Amino acid sequence: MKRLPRALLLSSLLVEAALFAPACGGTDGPTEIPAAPGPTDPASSSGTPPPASKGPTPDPKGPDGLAAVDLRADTNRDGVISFDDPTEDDGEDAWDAKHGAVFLANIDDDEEQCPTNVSDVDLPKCNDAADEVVNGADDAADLARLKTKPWAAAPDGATGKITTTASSSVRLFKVTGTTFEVLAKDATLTTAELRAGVELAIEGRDIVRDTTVWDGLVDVTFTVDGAGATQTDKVRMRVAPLLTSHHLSPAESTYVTLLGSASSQATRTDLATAATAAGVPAPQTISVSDQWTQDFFETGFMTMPGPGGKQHAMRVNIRSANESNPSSPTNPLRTAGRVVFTQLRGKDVAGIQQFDPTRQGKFDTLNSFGNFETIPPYTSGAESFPLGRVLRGNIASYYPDKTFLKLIEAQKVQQPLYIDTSWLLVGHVDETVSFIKASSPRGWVMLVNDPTLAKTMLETQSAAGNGAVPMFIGKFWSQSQSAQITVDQVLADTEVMQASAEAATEIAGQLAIIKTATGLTEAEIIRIPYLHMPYSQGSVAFQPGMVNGLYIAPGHFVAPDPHGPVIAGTDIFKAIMEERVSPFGVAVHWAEDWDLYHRNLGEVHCGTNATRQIPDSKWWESGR
Amino acid sequence: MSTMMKLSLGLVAALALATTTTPASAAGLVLDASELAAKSRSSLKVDIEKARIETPDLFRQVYDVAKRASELDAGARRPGAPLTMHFKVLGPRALMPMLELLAFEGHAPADLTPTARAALRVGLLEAVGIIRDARAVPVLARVALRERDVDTTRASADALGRIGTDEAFGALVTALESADAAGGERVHALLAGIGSSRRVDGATLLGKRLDAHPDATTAKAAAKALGTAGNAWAWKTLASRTDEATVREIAARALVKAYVSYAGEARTAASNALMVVDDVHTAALITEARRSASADQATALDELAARFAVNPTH
Repeated sequence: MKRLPRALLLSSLLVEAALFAPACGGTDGPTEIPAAPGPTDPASSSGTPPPASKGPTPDPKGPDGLAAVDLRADTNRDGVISFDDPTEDDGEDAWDAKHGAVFLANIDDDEEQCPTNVSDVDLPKCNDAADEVVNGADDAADLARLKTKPWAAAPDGATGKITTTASSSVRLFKVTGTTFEVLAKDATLTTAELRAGVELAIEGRDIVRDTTVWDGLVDVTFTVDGAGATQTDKVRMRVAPLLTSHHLSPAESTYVTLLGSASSQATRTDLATAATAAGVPAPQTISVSDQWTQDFFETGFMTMPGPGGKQHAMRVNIRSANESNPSSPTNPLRTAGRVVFTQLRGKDVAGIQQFDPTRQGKFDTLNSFGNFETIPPYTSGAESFPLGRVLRGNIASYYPDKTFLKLIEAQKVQQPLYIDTSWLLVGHVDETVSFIKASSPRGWVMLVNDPTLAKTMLETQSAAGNGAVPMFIGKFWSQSQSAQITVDQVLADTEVMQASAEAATEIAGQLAIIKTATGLTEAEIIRIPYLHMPYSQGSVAFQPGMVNGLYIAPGHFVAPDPHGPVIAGTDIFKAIMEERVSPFGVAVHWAEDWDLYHRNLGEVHCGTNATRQIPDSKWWESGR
Repeated sequence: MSTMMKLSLGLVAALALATTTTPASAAGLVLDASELAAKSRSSLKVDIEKARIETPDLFRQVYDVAKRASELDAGARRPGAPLTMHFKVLGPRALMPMLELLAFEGHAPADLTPTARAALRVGLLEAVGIIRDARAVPVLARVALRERDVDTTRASADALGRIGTDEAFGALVTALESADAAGGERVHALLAGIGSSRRVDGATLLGKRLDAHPDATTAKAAAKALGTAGNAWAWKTLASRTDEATVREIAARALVKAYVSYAGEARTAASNALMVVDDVHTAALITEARRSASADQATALDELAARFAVNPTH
């Protein structure tokens, strides 16, 4: 909103009239510049976008002088800054679903210069926003642009100033040609600069972590003093939230830990076979001594509007808040999570971590990212989550790192939904539910464990005379002790039956919360049978938990081989899963995971990870 | 010399050793055998030596798990997860080597990581409980009485509950009474053990605890324990089901009352427990509770009735 002091009005009217002289077009400079040049945009290579081809046009406000002091950002989110488009100006000092410019937290490492051999606490300190230098074209492309409208008739002696709120969270640069100069807090724009117009660039120095500290909004104010009066113009911008991917976004890369064991090889071979069948590359291997690839990092992204209606994206990998050495002041976190910074960070890829060192490892398992899934997009009643929403296990008495919870909640767009996983030994949402793209009106369905179905299936087989049929053939709980067990023995196992009844009830509670939030119908819930077994501290899957798989490509789900009873040549648990997902256009690929994953309390999903395509949905249109 | 003769001579020697010497200090993973009553200690020692002769392979296998505890724990998705399945598959005859590790000689490397040590201790206790052999009661009772680590207490209490004899149940009650003054998680662990006993007196005790309206976390623990006591699927596996109907009804009555009295996690726990108990009286109990309920309580009871009508365990 422009505020034009009365004293300047007359002189402005007079000088604005001069702007309509053809020569002013040259003085006016570009009327439209990319707001956030993409890395492939030739303009971005110099860091100074060229003039758009539209050429000068009359100020839309006409010769009333009201546009004399005019700061523009990409308020209408079309990827360019225009002085001609009124939607660029309307509502520029607000931020809502329809108005408001966006910038990125510039926390990637485009030049790949960050050290990788430093402590846990130092690893995240290095990124492109950590210094006051714009390190090349890729770095420049991550900055959102603003521009003051050239004011050729600015009175002699007029000076300008750019100020921001949240000044410790952002950094402003003045762009001159290919030069990016940090705009000091008290820097003055000269009369000549006011006349020529000034291009600015803004970077976030971090994502929002706690809305009580910073809510992500920044007001940038352009103030001009001259002829005895002051004019101001303000635009409101918001730092892009950190978002996570859901399964409707196809995987671009998948990952699995590389270990030297035969069990690791077995799982990787099956994953590669599934990938081939799905027509996607085999999972990339990560060389760490931690097979729980899902748990030690999560893939995410941030976007801002780019030219041509595209989004300019920065990938963000999140290191888990697992505290393996909570008493260490320098290296308290799970070691494998360092890959976020040491292997994955780089050009257009950032890394972050967030943990509370005073937590001292409390409820640590909940911080693994098996306990962090993203429900695909949905609308239910008045609520809409076009980019989905986070799903985590978290209750009042058993919760993940509270500073991390706060960080995720602060992103707002994928407001987390919490369910109770406290009854599980490992405590992760991926133990009981998953989501797959489906040829259905909603576009996706949910897989959920159903212990009652598993028990009923076994009872049916027992009644049919198949009680002596073995399951878990050739599998071992320990090195030399066979896990083989018959259908009747399973049904007679007090511990398994106790835990399975409890699991059925607890899962129903989880399901009720998800159904209430999403409006999922029974027809959209695919019940997958497996039993549970108890530990005094919690419950865990007795059979390989088949929902705990990798959605490797649209229509392709890699599930752990359940090693169920084979009756008439068919594993009854495999058969029912294949039968139930097939109508939704999904094929199941079976992966051997018993030795490395199942008997160590996890499955295929726990041992894999994925970077997925940036969705077409634009978060800034979500209204959140 | 025949094999039988060798075994007999060995057994005699072992018995003689066990009954004539009192170990000054025989430290296991959870307690020192010297903490046990002399009679229990001697009796266990005899049984252990006898088993060592009869099933040396099982001792070796139990020791092997102990030796590999750090490696096994490092592979687990949750550090400190009990190594129960590694011991459970060895079967009931592995009881004595496991008791030896718990109370007499740890056979574990001194440099076990803290989480591996916890995984080993709790895994052994859980596996011992699953065997349901009353000879383990002296060790378990001592652990339940004096252990301060909550996970270890819970595992020992659960094991005592599974054994479920009068002696085991008495030990649980004694431990509970001693823990009551301090309250907190030790009490919750012991309540869980009482639930695992599936005894009428256990269910009654838990019901009384709930009636006394303890704090919400204790109520949650008691409700969950009542669910364990009355778990219909578990009862179906038991050889003796004489007390099943009584235990499930006691549990259902206490849980419906608790459901009305509490909100939040304690109410949810009561609801979940009612589902697994799945007692025939439940619908009537809900209807009865509704008669004197406030408007809010009535709404909650209606939700409970609706949930029970489509009980997820069916």
